[in-house]
Amino acid sequence: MKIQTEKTGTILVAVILEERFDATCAPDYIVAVKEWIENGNVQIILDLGHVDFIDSTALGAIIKSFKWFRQAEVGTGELALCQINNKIMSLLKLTRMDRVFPIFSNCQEAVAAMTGPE
Amino acid sequence: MSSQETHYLHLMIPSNKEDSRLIGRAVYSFCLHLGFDEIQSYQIELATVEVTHNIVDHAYSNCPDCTLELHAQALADRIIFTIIDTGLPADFVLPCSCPIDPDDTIDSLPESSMGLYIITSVMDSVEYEVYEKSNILTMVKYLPES
Repeated sequence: MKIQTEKTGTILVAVILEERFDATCAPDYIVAVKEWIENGNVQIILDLGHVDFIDSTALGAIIKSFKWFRQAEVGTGELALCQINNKIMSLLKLTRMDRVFPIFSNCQEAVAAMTGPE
Repeated sequence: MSSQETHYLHLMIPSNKEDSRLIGRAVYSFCLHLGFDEIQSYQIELATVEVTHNIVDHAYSNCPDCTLELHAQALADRIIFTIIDTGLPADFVLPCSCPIDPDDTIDSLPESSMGLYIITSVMDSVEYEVYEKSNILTMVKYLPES
């Protein structure tokens, strides 16, 4: 699974460079998440701009990582999603996860929200 | 689509999740062709992929030599999807409510078992039967009104 990461202050922006984020590659995402946490990265923005298909296994993996980031650094650990297309948003609405995940239209908005007012 | 016109899709794939993508892509294109929009087509694709994943994991317990079949028949007002495997019969109850409660604690959020809910939410009807050692899941989706 191809994931491109870039650090913005304390925030790690992870761009999923896959058209399909599904059961085939969800285990790779979990491996990457463990590595991020081991390296002290617990404020994560997941950029799904390249993703056109997500299944329930991948959604479950994102939920798992959402819990891990929160648990790793209580109070500051966070996972936000951005650049979600209408198809993926329909899955989040169907499963009501749109009311759980912090969701932003782009990475800049997500960074601003996670950084807070200066 | 006129009532005289019928469209049919038949695929047989090995029981593995990478090949489930073939079924997903074919179903997505089939649904677009029949007048569903991109979001509806994605959701129908997702439902069929969730079914095939359940077969790979549970009916066949990751048996790459096993096969599963998809038939999709478009009638005047609906598509009938039939997915057939010859693995272990499934023992499940179709869920009637979303397994996720956004007001619940984060620790309580489920990390699995959302597939059946997605299937029943997306499709208009879902039926499962075992017939002569074949497990047959039949799902119906009505075509969008034009």
